[in-house]
Amino acid sequence: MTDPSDAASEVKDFCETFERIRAEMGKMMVGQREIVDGVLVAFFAGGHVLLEGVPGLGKTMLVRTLSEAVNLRFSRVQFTPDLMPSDIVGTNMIVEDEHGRKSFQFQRGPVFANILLADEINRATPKTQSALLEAMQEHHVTVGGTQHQIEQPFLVLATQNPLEMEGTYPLPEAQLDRFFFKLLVRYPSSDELQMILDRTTASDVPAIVNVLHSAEEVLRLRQLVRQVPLAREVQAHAVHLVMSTHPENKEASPLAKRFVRYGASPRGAQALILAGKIYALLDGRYHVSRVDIEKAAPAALRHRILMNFEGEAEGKTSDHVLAEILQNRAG
Amino acid sequence: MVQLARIGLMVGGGLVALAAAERWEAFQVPWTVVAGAAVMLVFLAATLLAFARRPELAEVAGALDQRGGTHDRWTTFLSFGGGSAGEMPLHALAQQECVAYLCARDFRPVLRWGLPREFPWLAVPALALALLLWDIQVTRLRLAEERAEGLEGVAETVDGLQALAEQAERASKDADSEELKRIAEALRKSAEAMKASAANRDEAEKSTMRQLSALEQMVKSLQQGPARATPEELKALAGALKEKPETEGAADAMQRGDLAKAAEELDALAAMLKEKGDALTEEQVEKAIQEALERLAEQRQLSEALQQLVQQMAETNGQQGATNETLQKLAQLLRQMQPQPGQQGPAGKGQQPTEEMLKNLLAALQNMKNGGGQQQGDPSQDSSGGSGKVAIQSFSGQPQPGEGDPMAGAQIPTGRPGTERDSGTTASATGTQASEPAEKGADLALRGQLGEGESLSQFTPAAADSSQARQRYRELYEAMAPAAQAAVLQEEIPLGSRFFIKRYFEAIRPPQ
Repeated sequence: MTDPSDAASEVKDFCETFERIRAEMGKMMVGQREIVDGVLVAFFAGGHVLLEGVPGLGKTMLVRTLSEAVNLRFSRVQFTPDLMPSDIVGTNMIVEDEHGRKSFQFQRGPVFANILLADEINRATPKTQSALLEAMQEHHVTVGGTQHQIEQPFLVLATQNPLEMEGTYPLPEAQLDRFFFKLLVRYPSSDELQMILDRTTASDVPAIVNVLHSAEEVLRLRQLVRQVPLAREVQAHAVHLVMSTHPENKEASPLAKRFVRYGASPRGAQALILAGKIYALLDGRYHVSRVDIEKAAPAALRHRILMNFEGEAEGKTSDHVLAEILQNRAG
Repeated sequence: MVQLARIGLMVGGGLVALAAAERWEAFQVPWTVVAGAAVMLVFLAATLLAFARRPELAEVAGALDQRGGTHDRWTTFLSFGGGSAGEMPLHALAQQECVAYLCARDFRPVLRWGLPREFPWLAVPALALALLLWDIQVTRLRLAEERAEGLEGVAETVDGLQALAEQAERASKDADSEELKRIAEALRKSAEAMKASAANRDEAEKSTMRQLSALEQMVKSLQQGPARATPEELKALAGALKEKPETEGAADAMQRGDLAKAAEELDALAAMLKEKGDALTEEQVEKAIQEALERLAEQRQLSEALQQLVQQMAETNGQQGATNETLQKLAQLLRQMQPQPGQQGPAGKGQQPTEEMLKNLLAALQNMKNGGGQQQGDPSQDSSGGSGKVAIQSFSGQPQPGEGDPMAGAQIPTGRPGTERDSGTTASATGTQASEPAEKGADLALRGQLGEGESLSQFTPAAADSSQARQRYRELYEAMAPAAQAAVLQEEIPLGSRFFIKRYFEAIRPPQ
């Protein structure tokens, strides 16, 4: 792609693809536009998504619909306290061939899929949660000293229930940081709920059309996203936002200074930029603006900011801190 | 413009502080120069600051993006403007898109032109400055008026002091007196000091009183001088001392007027008595001096110098060496009375003009101090024969020959009820206009109707001019008033006459 006109057509193709996937998902998902957009942005940015919401809001449906729309392999793991890491990544099993010789053969776990739904991820023990770390970041797993590559694209969509905290294991910070976005699934409105009831009880389930036909197509679009130019000043703005979440930094906001224990990591800044690029393309621009960065900030940074004891006691969340930072930027 | 307004505010604050300092009389400010310099400073500093703090192109682009809501197209265009857009197709696309957008848009509404918000605040220092300058002007005019009033108030006193200074200077030349010369100088300095400190009428009055009091003290101290015995006393003392053989030599010298020799004789006698330790002779000498002084005291009042001597003898009576001390004191007294080189005539006579001049000066200063008459010419050129002395005679019982009767033509109260018309308190005892002031240098006698019984006459000296002797008159009045009150209360006065008597005492009461 050296010709600007080719680039323009590819960008156009990206936007159309995005819109079509969104439309296909809209067949199954009523409302939740921000969630759908967020998942798609993370999907094209090459990141993973943590969905937080009460049960029954369509989180699993969202993931399933996405996998069908993009025509990629989908697997689901229901995380429970007794789930073992091998249950996710796979294990070496003794198999006997036709000559009666026995040997170890690696049996792939559910992680070997393009889209993995880790349902109620906080119910598994930290040991099991950590089994996803390598897969999420390095896109491979190591079992018995042998690395097993995970096919690209690879997207982990994890869900967690914010209400039932008993018997759960909060995700460790290292693993939280590996999620590109954390999206809060809100309860549907009355109209949306009625529409859900109409769709699920009165008629047949609509068929999902494959928008993308191969994984290569996804990777090509991902590559396009990374080529979107970004001015140095806009990048500095992203850095500034991230630094504002650090309480020890002189640019920190008052709330961050008081209630934040640790600010967002560099991965947060990467997420801001990549998401900003996709938002810019969706907005019909070929460059990233500060508005795109700020649009991505809540989803990209909220799980990367750790509140201190005082903040938790005061009922302050990372969203409060981010809202103040963004308001200060706008002012 | 913002820099201009801010620097203008700072400089305005400085000017207000400067004006405030001038308002409270810290110093005076040349406002024409300062105002010009301030305006130049403001513009120069604003220009320099604006140049030094000029924003970078990226900052301008960022500001335009923010105001115009361009989604950072200015910033992006600036960022990729001169770069390798050809190698990166999306960069080129971004640049083209930015250019198309920016060219299509009108940014004039985004650019705000107008005065910065700091500008209206310039009115505050401007108003404060104007008020302060107006107040300074008003204060200056008021002070000038007050000073003029003060100068007017002290003008007569200053003129009087300068006239006195000239008079004292002439007298010092005539009498070859250093004291008078010093007084003349002091009078001139006092006149200058009065003029300098006459900021307003009150200050002028206070300064006048201070200067006059200081001059009065100076003259009084010069007047007193060292204690001296009179020539008559010395003559009588010599006669008494001659009766004793031990003091005969000293007595002879005193009779000859050779006071130095007499002092030497007395010193020699004291030395001899001290050497011999002859108690009998010492007692005889002591007794001789004591008897001489007693005899003088019987005949007349002793001078201050001899009174001091008597007092010393009384204190040291019976002590060993007391006679020596008495003799040495007497010798010292004689030496003090010895005429100084350059002094003309015998001791006492050469100082006569100076003493009289000091008296006149003192009286004139007291009159000035008490608001009395002012110097109206050269007092030395009076018509009374050049004595330089004016005496105002009061309560004179007898009309002086050759003097005009100041009461002539005045209505004399009869003392009968109904014969006079009560017209209230008047300026004189007769209810008519006050008598005209005396001509300069002339003796003036106020005469009343002579009645039965004794009358008292007393001279009240005043300055050798036409001023009134108010100070001395007030002292005299205060001394006599209780006796007069007592007499009025004791006597049986007809009812019809009481009003006139009361009116009389009111009329002769000195002004407060």
